[in-house]
Amino acid sequence: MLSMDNLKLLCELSKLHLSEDEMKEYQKEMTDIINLMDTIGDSDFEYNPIDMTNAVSFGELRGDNITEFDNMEGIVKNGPEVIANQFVVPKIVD
Amino acid sequence: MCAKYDTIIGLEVHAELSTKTKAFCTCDASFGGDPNTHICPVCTGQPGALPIINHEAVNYAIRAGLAFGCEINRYTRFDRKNYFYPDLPKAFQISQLDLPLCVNGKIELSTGTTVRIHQIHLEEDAGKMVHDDYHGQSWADYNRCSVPLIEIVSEPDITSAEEAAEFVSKIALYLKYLNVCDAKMQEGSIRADVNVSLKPAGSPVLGDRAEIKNLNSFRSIQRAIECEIERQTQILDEGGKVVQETRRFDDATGTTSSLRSKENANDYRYFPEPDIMAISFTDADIEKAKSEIPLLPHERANKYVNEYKLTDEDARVLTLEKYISDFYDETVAIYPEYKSVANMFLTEVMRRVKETDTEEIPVTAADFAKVCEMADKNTVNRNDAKTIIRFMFEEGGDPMEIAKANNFIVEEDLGAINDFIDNLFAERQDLVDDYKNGKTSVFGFFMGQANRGLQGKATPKSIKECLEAKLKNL
Amino acid sequence: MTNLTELRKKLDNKEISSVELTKEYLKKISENEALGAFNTVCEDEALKMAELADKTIAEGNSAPLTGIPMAIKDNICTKDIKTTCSSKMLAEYAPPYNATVMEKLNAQGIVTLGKTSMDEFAMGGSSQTSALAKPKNPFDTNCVPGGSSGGSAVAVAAGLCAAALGSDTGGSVRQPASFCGITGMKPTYGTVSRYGLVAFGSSLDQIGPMANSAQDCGIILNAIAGQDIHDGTSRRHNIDFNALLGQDIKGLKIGIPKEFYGDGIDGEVKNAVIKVADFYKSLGAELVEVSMPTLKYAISAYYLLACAEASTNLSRYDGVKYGYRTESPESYDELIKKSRAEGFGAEVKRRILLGTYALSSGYYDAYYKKALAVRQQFRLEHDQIFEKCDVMLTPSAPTVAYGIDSNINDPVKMYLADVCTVTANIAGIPAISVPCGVNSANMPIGFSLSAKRFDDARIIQFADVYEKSFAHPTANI
Repeated sequence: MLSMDNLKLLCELSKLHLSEDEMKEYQKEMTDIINLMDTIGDSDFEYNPIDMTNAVSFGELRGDNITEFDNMEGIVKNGPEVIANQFVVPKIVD
Repeated sequence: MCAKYDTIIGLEVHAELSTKTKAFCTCDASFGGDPNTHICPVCTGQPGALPIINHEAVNYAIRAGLAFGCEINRYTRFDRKNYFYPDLPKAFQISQLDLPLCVNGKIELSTGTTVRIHQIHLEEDAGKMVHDDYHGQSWADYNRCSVPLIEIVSEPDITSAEEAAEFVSKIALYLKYLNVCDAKMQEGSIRADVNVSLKPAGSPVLGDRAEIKNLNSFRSIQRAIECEIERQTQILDEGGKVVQETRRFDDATGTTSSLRSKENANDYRYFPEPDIMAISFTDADIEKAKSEIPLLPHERANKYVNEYKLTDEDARVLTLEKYISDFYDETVAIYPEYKSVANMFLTEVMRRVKETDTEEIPVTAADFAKVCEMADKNTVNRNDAKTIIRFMFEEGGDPMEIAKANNFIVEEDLGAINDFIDNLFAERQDLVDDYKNGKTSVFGFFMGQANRGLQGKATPKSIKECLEAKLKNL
Repeated sequence: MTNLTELRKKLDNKEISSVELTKEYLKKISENEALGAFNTVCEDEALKMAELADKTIAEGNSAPLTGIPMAIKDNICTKDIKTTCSSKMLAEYAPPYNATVMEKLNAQGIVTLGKTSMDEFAMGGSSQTSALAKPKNPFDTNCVPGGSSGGSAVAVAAGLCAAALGSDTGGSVRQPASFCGITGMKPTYGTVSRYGLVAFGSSLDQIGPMANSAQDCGIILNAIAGQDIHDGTSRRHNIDFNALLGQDIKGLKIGIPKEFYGDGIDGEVKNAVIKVADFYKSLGAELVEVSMPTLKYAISAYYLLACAEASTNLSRYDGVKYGYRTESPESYDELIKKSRAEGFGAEVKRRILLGTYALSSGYYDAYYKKALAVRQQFRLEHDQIFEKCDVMLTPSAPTVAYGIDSNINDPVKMYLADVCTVTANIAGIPAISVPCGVNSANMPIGFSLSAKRFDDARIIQFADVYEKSFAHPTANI
């Protein structure tokens, strides 16, 4: 069973606000899903982090040449709140 | 330094690379610009956009790694570091954890301490936030998003605040010499996080450490560490325990304070970035990167001493800053009188550039070379040459024009030279006789006397010619 | 159904103009709105594109897809045309750029009829997790069309477009193609650029065609494939997807992985696929039994990999730069938490939570890293399989389309249903689903062919051979 504390941590990490009722529902569903995932625990294959089939050679990387995007206004236009061409959020306090 | 405790310091130095484009898109990476005018779908995290890694950013990172004696991993990979912040549009930073570009380097400090480099990896910068207290808002500008950074992670080998400051300034200097970072602290192109812990002197057990984040000047690095050592000393003296946490340094009050515990509880969930293929390097790739490493400060100083015959001290001073060394190199490339240029530079130019905050010399190397040559050839006398340099700094202008406008050009009056020599010969008939009798070494005496007597009125060349002519016709 | 080759002839012979064709499709789309295939129909843009295409055709400069009206899955970015991913989160999002596939299709002069509905962020196998239009199966509107590319499958099956694009992370092109009686293909990972495809599981996602024939799929793939400077995982290749059309399959080997013909597969489906094998055998192909022992880990490995990637791919939806934003948030933390909670549907949240779990400290090694190891094993196993055969033949899904109200609320049951398709994504190999008749309830059945990486033309060859002998089932609409 996925503990409520663990679920709360997952919600915090993934920034999802769930109500108490939703939490109970998700706790049950996530427990079932995780139980299904647990089947992978029976596998014992070695993971090799160095996988040459998934690599490109250094020389293939893109060159350092500027190409400016031609529709910057199209990006800013989608902002839910924009002031002075910047994206606005409630003041950050740390 | 308090002898009761040993201080253990590790640093993470972040340096922005001076590539033309960003790390993962082709936007202009230069500093400045109106808000959100150096942006594209990739660096603003639009749905569906994908990162494309910049060859030059990788190349710069390797160059730095090689200069700091690192091994280059022949297979390197990128990872996602996940956290939410409004200056991070994708809500993850592309960074490197397990297979970074460079590992196991070292940097020697003047104190004799060797600081081991754990790794150097490539990652992307975040955007810029400005805070509007009045309206309770923060504004996000993504121009800096995805500008390439290298993070240089040291082992905890540093033992004092002074060493930490030297470590960072040495990195800054080297990165400038490597042409990979402009190291402008005021533009935030170098920043450091420091880990500080204390342990009873001689104890093998490490103490709990505090991390102070985001220090952006050599001075604040040194001060923050000093404050933190003081704080931890007090805690330990009182029998307390240092909390392992992230702290912030307030430059105004000169104190560190704890950041919210949330920051400390973060689980970044690093995992391999699926949108970027791993990169493999051949021996030839590494050799090529090595061949592209320019002369480092100590190597340039050695060259000045060995090839240009400058003194150790002059060579050291000329290489303290890259832009100064570059200016000297440029000047002697045009006018290869190494010592004379060095002397003129160190006496006349150095103090003037030191007075300004910028790394700009308002005089071109070509014009400076011209003044040095004018002084050496006595086209103008040496004091006037110095005045010309002052004018060039203050008002600008071509050195020859300045010399003419101020009547600094040494006028050659052959009649006056000949009169002077005639007088000299009359006064020292004894030596003239010696010369006639074959004692030609007296030439030097006459030459010296004439040079002194005619200073500012004739060039040594003309004096020599007149003197030779007279002696021949005796 | 008219295939693309015939349409091309008609357009080039001026039997019909692209504008006329576009109007026909637009009319059918509006008549069949109840099928819920589209989130957005872009009538004005479509007609403009059709006019342009007619000009190009008149000038004699037509490319294979010039003037062909297509439907595009709503997770493929279309500049200034809403791209919603069937999510409340992106309901109003108009991308500032085109996906590379759209640039390529536009360069050929296609007509974009509209954006098709799907499971929210491509997470699902029914298209019912959509927060916008909820597509229905044209063979029985009480049944799901499959998913996640359900809208595209419905649009092709109901004749609302000439062909469509879908995307496939774990079967999202092939399974709805199978449920709706059309052909759908997921090409080799890296053959088609993902730039502009809203990411779900980046290491698994591929855009694929959904059409009336394998040959049509090949025509579309020839238009959209190729290495892209905007996608670092796209590979250099020179595949002519239709290169092997018409070639004899005699002597070629078909692998039958016994694990795909077990108890979990519906009897009628199994029989239909065995008949397909017999048909190929009758043409001189050789059937060989192969084995995929790692299949038992496929579902967990797939969901762990896809959801881990998805959990961070979907972190960018925070209500700051675009998309849904909660009303008057007090703080930044509240802004993102509430925007995400309100903007995402339940299945998306479940997958984000699962992915976060798999990557979080203390669980990474037990879940995510194990899944990476299983993926490597899968690749190895597939290499071995394709040493023994040229193509592998399996059912496309364990069942035919099921009732809309049946098991879509049981996530575990839904996940298990992906077993036939996820292996191709994990292994990165090409796979195509082709209709092979209907069951007793007149619902389409599909079979799948897969091959080794970059052998995409081989499965199109086999699929085409089958289609030359057996027509697709047609929906009664």
